[in-house]
Amino acid sequence: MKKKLSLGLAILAAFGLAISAMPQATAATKSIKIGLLFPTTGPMALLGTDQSVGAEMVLKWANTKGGIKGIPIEIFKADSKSSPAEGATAAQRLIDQNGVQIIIGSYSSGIAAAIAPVAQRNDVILWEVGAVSPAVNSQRYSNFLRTVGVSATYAAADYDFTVNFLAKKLGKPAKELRIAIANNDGAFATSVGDAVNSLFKKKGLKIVAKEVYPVTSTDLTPTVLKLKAAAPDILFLTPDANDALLFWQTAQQQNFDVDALVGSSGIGGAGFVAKFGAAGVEGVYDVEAPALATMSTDTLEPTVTALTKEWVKAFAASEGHPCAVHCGDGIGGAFTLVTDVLPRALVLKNTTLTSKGIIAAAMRTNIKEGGTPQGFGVKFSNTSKATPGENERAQSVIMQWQGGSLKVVWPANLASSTPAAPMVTWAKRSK
Amino acid sequence: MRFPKKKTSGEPDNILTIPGLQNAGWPAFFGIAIILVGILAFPVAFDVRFYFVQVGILIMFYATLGTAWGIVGGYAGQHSIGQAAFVGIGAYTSTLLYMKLNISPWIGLFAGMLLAAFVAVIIGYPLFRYGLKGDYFALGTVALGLIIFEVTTSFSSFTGGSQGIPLKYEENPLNFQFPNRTVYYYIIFVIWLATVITSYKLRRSRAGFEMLAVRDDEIAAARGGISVLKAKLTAFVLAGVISAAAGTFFAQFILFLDPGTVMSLAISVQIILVAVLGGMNSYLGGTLGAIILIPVSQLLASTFTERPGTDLALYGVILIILMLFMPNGILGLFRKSPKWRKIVGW
Amino acid sequence: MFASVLVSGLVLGGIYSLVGAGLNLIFGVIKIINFAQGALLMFGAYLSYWIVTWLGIDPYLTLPLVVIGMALLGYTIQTALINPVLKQERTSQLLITFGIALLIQNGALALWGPDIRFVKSFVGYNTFAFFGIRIGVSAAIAILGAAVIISLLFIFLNKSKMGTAIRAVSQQSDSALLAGIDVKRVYAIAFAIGSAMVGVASVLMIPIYDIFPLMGEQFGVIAFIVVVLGGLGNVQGAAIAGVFLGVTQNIFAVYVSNQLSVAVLFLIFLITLLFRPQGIFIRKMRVA
Repeated sequence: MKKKLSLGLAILAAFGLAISAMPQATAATKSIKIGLLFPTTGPMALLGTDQSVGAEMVLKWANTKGGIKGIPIEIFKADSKSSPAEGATAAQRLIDQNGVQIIIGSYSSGIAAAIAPVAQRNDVILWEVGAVSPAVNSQRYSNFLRTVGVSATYAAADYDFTVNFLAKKLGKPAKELRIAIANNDGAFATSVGDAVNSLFKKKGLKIVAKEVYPVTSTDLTPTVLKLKAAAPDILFLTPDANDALLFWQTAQQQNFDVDALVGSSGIGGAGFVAKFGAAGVEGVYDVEAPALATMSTDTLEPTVTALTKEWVKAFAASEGHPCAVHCGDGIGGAFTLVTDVLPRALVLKNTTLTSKGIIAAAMRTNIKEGGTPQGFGVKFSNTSKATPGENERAQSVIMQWQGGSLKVVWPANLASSTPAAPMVTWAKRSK
Repeated sequence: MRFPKKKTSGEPDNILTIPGLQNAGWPAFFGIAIILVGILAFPVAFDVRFYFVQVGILIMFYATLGTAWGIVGGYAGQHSIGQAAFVGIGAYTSTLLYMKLNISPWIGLFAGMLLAAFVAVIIGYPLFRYGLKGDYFALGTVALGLIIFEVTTSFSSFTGGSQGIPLKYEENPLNFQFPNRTVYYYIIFVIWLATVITSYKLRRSRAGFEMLAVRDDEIAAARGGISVLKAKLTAFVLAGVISAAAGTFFAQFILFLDPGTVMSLAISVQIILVAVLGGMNSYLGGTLGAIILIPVSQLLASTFTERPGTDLALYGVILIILMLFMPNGILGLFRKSPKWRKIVGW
Repeated sequence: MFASVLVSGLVLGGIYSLVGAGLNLIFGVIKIINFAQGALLMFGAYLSYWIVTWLGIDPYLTLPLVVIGMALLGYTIQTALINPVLKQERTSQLLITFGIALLIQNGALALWGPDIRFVKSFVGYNTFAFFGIRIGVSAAIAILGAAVIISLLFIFLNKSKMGTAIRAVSQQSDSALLAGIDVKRVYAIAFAIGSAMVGVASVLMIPIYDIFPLMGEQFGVIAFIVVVLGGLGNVQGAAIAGVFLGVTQNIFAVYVSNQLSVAVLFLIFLITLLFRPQGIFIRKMRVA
């Protein structure tokens, strides 16, 4: 009897040892699977592709350094075809067929809003580097983490610049400035245009015109004529990639002068200066995250500076145009992921990568200004805040075309140059 | 149900013989039963990853829309290129009621269908009354679809405009949201099956007969005492109502809604594609078209990831080839055979 | 300001007429709803762009090459892809043109990327100014070109043998067949000429508009409105219709609603289809 008991105990013990020695369900991660989900076809293709390529470059760089703590990154790419429904399907495909744990996306707020529930349900992280509408995470998903600033940061930067610089330079008290807002009726432009409108109105500034034109419009002359009739001092213009060019051309042809034009998106693009030449765009401002190729790296940390310069060069070589804002979104967002959050996530959870681990790691992120390629710091809002997962340190900056380069001119600590105002009139603009 | 003996030849023209599966005999019934059981069992039997279930959902979604289009385009001969507008009406109605008034999308589903019926009558009446035919009808529906799209974008304070509406995420079956996503598969299965059965029964009914008569020769039909307006309008309304139901479903599935997702011209064209490829005159046409086109486009999308646009360009090539060689769709390939016509209801 | 808006509308309308001219032949003669109209415009633009890039010549000088290239493309499309399905359902034909559009647009995207390209002509962005109204020189050239090309088309259709054959086929294709006209060949030539005219439109438009894969989408739809409003096959009608649409769009944008200024065009389209599908100018009723 005793023999049987001890034999039984021994077997149990052996069994127990065997079980504990068996690989756990959450074994050490062998590779980190990341999906890049951006609109690379359709109307959003131009800038969506830039974000995707920028992010991919950083991921590949991480692999040349041995991956994250020695674990390689497997990169999967998918196309959301400029459509939220397709984005949701592509997200599911990346999750089910490729087994991704993190999706880096999305450029567009609509697409981000469609991917977010998919990510949440499948316990995958949506690492948002591009969409700016605050409503994207209205459902407060825990798996949503955004590195870029929302449209309110655009408005905040605009307001700060107007009140603290433009008012003085143009010689008028801020409340007497005539301010016009124009945007197309697409998601991004509307979100920014509305943000500027509501902030400025709240602060009691004078809005003399708010023009919304259809994104499908074939002629911007009516919009320009209406703006001209309102005689604004400052125009805040939010177009997309191609109507930016059409607007500026129409403004030139209709001789529409303003003392300051603060644009976004296409206004800060390589195509803008390529088409109109350095003299043709001199003095135009652009508000958004900084364009990496032409921002000052003086205020960045030295290691970040070196890496950013390397990436900017590689991007221009492979894409044939400079690394501007959207390229910066991709690079900056991926940078924080691979150099800060993922390593910490792996340490926290003992070399196993889980979504909870990534979120916990992100909540501890504390990068100061100058610590990322885009210049601003990173600190994610936690669940006690109204919208969790947002980068509280994200900033939009004001850039200005000077001598053919888009230089950061505001705020001063990130600036590589001083802003100039008022803008030269068309008549005086050198050819 | 009495089981058929196989009818022999000598049938007059297709419009007068009522198609029916009775003519297909035993094997067909077994076949159908097996297929239906297979569809039902698919998500659970093989422990498939959800992506494939999602593709199945997309297939049935477009199959529903394609079959609905077959009613107005195939039976009544009115080739509408604005069907997506009704999908949008359904989706926006239920979503706005849900997000603004907290009304359950189950109720919103019927509200959307009602509104779609109403809009279909308002739009269809002048279109048909003024005798818009052929190309002009098609272009008219394009114009309508575009107007509704732009209007939805413009009244953004009400509809959310181009920024769209993210739907409330609450796993509450009473509000048409389910923690287990596979339930959506079964819901769209029911919607799809109901649509196919409706189309089948319609084909065999007097109303369907009238639609076909109007399609084939309006003047003769009118002389024969058929109300041309009623036949066309019934088809148009029916297709619109089904599309609206599918629209509500889709909004609840994707949990995000903007004009481009549910009411763009591209979607209208996709619906026609699905219907025509399968064979627009048959109640099975939409289904067959969806079974082929959706997986093809998904496969292309997942294979050609390097150069954006490659998968879509290839999709265009495939479309061209399919339409060149099978302009009547797959089910239309055998339309010369009376027995075939009886089974698929050509 | 009203004068400025009016003139800008006239200018836009001239461009619409130009874009519609090519479709008049394709839709008017072959009766096919050509979903690829915008894609053809884009193709012509890229063709011109590449010639400018390789040969370094002014965009306007690419006209002959683009016209020939587009004519060849059009002839090929009709012969290979549309003629075989002429007797089929219209909707199947329409879907083929949709496939062609997908192929051309995404082919351009896959080959040349999404970058926005542009060309600069010898006139740059200069303007004419008179009485406080300004129009771009390139726009003026485009309108002049539109007038010339539409007049040429008119002469061709009414005075030449092929033109008369085309009109015969467009009005009564069965009788034309009986009269010994090779209808399929006429269709191919009509598509070729229609495409060539689209090529002319592209060349005249690229000093004004930028070049990217989806540039033609909106113009493709508007071309249909122009053609239907003016009356199928009615060349001068299309010209007037185009101008009317441009003026309406811009005046509506300034005085009623900017956001709905494109939607109003679709509304006009719908109303025309409902109440005067034969167009404003033709008196007898069309049989669709």
